[in-house]
Amino acid sequence: MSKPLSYRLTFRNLLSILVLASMALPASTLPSASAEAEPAGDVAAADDHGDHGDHEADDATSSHAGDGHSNDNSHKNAGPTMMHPQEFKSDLAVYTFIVFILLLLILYKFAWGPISDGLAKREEGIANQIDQARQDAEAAQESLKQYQQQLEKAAQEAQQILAEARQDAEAARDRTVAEAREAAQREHDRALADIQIAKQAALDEVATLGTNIAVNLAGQIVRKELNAADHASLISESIDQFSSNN
Amino acid sequence: MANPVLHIKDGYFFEVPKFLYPVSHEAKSDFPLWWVRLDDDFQSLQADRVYDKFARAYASSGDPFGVPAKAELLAEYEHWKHAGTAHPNAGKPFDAYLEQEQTELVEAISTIKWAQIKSDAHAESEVVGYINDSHHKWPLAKINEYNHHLSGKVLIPQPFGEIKNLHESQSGFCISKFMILELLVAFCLVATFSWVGRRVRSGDPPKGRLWNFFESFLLFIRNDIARPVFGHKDGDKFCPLLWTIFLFILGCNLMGMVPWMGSPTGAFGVTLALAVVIMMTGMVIGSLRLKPFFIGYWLNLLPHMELPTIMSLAIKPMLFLIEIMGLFIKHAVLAIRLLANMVAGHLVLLGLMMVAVEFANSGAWYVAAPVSILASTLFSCLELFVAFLQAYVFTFLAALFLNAAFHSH
Repeated sequence: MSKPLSYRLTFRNLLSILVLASMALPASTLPSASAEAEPAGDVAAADDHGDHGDHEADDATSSHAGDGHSNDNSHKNAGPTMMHPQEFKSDLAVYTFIVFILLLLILYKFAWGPISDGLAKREEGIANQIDQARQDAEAAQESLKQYQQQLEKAAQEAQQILAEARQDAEAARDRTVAEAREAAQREHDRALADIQIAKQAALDEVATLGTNIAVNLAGQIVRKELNAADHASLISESIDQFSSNN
Repeated sequence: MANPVLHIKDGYFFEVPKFLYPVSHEAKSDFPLWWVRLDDDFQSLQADRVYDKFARAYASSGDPFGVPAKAELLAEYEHWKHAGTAHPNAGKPFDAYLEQEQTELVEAISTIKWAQIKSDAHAESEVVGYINDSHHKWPLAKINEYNHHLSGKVLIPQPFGEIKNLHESQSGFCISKFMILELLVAFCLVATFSWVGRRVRSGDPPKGRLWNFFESFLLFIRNDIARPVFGHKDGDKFCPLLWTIFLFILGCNLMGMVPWMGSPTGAFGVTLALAVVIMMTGMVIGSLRLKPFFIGYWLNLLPHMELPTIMSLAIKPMLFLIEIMGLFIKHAVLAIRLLANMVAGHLVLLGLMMVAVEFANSGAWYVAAPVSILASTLFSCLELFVAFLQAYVFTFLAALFLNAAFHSH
């Protein structure tokens, strides 16, 4: 995007230079310029050069029309230095001197004074701003350092907090696990106790039943009917014997 | 053709294309007095009268041989006026002829009488009388030709003096084209830089193209010429002078690139005046700053040398003379450098354009004119660069000379 634009700008600048330059052509050489523009019509513009051409020979009526220095009075009665480009004209020199001094004074009053002041003020302002910026930068550096320290401290604290938290968590976990383990143990123990009780009960029942069966069997064997009291004493005797055997 | 140099030199008129400023005088009374003065018919009559008066004065001087016959002398005068290929005597009055060619005759009468005859011959009343004289009517063809030559020449009014022709003054203070252009440049500078001054005064950073553009000139001169040459403190003190010098010369140089204007810096009077400003500034500041007061400046011209007394007695005065000459020469060269560059550039441009003019009547014009226009265009670009470069060179050398003027070396 920027490239075509710069090309276009360059081209436009070149074109304007060409136009300006072509306008400037007649600046010091007018007759030739008009002759360039109008070759047929204005040949005589090249001063009296075309004396031998048709145009001026017809017009010229004076006795010396054809001698090349006809009726153009604009540069006649020439002084000895008129044709010298290095001719020194004192009136122009004095005039230039005065104009220059006046210009210097006027510009000093209205332009150079304010401009010098303004530039000095601007320079001072820029210097101040640079100083200020340097101070600001230093202050900023200082604050940065502080913030960094604070940040580090905060990070440390966070680390600490994290560690503590982790510790707490671990402790909590251990506690929970221990509690759980304890509860499980308790459960286990209770279960074992239950089992023991149940086992005891079962064993008791088995003993009672076994004894009954044995008594019955023994009664049958001995054909002796035992009365209920004998029966009961026999059972308790057997149970005691069973219990002591176990 | 008139010498092409006249197109770049100062004059008492502005030259524009003929169609822009046509002149259509109808009678001789419409023409300016100086033009009538240079008219052949008027000069013949003038010669006639001068001869009569001169012959009378001569007769009373008692010379036995007498003056040559009137017809003979006047014919010789006419012949003299048109002699030579460059016609150096064209339009010169009879008294000039007598002074130049008939020195013995002129010397025979008293200087007072001769001065009287001359002043009578050139009196304004003579011309006015001729203009009002109905016996000497100018033919229409002559008036037309005069109109043709005067067309395109915008004459500058001359309230304080009288011109001899369009390029030379006769008497009094004549306002020339370059004087007006210098004023124009000065006016533009005051207008532009007081505008810049009003903006810079606040000390704010520059805003906008124009402000930046003009300020960059000033900062360039300050940062790249004044401060490196004079140092920081003195540099800022000399800035106003260098700014004015640079911008004035640049403006004058660029005036030459403006159509129908011209470069005042192409006149020796202008460049020398500027060099004199520099030299005088150096002298004044040197005299004030170098100890002992006033003499210090001149003593400073001599380089410091360890010499035996006898040798220094012999050598130092010579060196002092050489240094004084050098002081003037270097400032003169400063002026000549600028002049030569501007004149040379314009002469080359003129030559390139003359290529087209030379072929104006032939078929070759169709080839010559485009070539001439193209070459002139390209050379004008170069001239534009030279305008800036020479302004810079002058300013830079001026700074060096000024610095040398008040620093002991």
